[in-house]
Amino acid sequence: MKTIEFEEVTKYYQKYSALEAVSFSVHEHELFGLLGVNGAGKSTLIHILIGLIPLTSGRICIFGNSIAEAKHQGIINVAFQEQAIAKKLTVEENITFIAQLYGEYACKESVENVLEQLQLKEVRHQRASTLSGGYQKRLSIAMAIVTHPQILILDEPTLGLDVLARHELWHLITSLKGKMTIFLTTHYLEEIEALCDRVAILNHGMLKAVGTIEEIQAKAKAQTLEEAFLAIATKEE
Amino acid sequence: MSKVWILAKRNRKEILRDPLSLVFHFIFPIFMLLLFFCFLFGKTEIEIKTQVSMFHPYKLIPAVAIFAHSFLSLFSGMMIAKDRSESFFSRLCISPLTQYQFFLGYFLPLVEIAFLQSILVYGLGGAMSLLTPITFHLFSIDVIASFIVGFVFSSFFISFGLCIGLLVSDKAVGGIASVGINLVAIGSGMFMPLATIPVFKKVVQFLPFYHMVTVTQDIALGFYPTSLTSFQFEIEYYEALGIPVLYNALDIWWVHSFIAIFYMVILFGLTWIMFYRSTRFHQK
Repeated sequence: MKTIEFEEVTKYYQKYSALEAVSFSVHEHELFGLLGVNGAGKSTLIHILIGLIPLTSGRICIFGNSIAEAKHQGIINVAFQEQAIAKKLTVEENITFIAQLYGEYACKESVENVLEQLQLKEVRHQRASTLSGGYQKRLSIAMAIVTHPQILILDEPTLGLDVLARHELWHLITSLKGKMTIFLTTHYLEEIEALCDRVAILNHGMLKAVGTIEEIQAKAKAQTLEEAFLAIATKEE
Repeated sequence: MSKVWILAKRNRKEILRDPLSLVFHFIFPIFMLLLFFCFLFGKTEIEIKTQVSMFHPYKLIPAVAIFAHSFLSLFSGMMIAKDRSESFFSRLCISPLTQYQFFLGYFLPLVEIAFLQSILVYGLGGAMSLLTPITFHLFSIDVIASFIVGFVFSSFFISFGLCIGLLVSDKAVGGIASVGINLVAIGSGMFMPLATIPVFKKVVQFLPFYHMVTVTQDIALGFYPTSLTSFQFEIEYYEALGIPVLYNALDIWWVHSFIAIFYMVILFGLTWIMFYRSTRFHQK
């Protein structure tokens, strides 16, 4: 079943084209990766998907509904590239705040579950500003999943993390796999290889390839994802 | 729990857990009161009215309360600008908050802080006035009215802070809000008689700060000048000292009130529009 459908999504900032007729779909419960270098249009696509910026033309459907309906139903939530946490609140207060804001019925129980699931119990009374980068990312994800979204968007979740923290976060993301549809953007190829079921490659706002890693490698006649990515990304230049 | 209350609670914690915010919102106004009351200690009522009339308790206390409110613009602006730069604002934009809930969630905790500031400045000022020959009667109608009007004027500073916080980065907010704070300190006439600096007064009387301070002072004093003859004593006094002095139509009480309210309403409306634009959802 298709969870998200992008149909000819185009975004112009005055004359500059940030996205050019991007079309693909994301299936239910898959972990879908959106790969691209800096400035490829990944964050623009995410911001359009969550209604923060308007699209110039095209359409996005979530479970066949508009984004506004999906927002209204609380289907979608995001862990932003910047942590998007309240720095002076404790870990528990941050998660409780979001749970209350979304009107979580069993708020306390949901918060406890999320603290457990993302291994945040030991730092629950610690202020967010005193957490390490890895824990701040975890908190950001916790704030997104406490609302029980059917679609979780992870915008560059491991950006700026050290190798150890990155692997810990990958482990956590893998543990969420299958429970919800995860739409992940990154420019780390190893992240795509380690986590994603399918991947789309964006370059200069244009969709260059969609499919499993094997399909993309076969299409680019490459042995590795890195070779395939380089072949696809440098093709137009 | 209402969504406004949930967001307001978060924002209140964010402000009250910042030590710098506590210092500027609450400690600094106390320091200012102490400092200026030092001019009054040991003086007779006549000496206060003639030598240091600027720091007459009925003028000083309302002015310090307005000055304290000016720090609201700095910290409200920094809070919202930081929320924007760290994407916390975006997280709220995609939440089920409506635009008016969003606006009130940011506005109300600052109103609470303004109320606490007013209580602190008026209460402490009243207590300190007991050590001078002029008692600041906290429960007189005039003082209560001045308290309420000053508290309402705090919405100007809250709106100003939120407005610049929505427009510029958290680093730039500091600079812009500081200009506002300095304009209150220098341009409101709380520390120096503006009438004796005609050129400066000609400029600052078109800003709201001078009028806000004067309105709250006049209400506390029960002094409502309706024409220039109301200032005859001051004019003759300064002329006798050979100091040029400026009193004009903008010193009439209702003109003060009109200008102060005009700025307050305009800025409040502007802030609401900016919130509306910043938090609207784009894909219908």
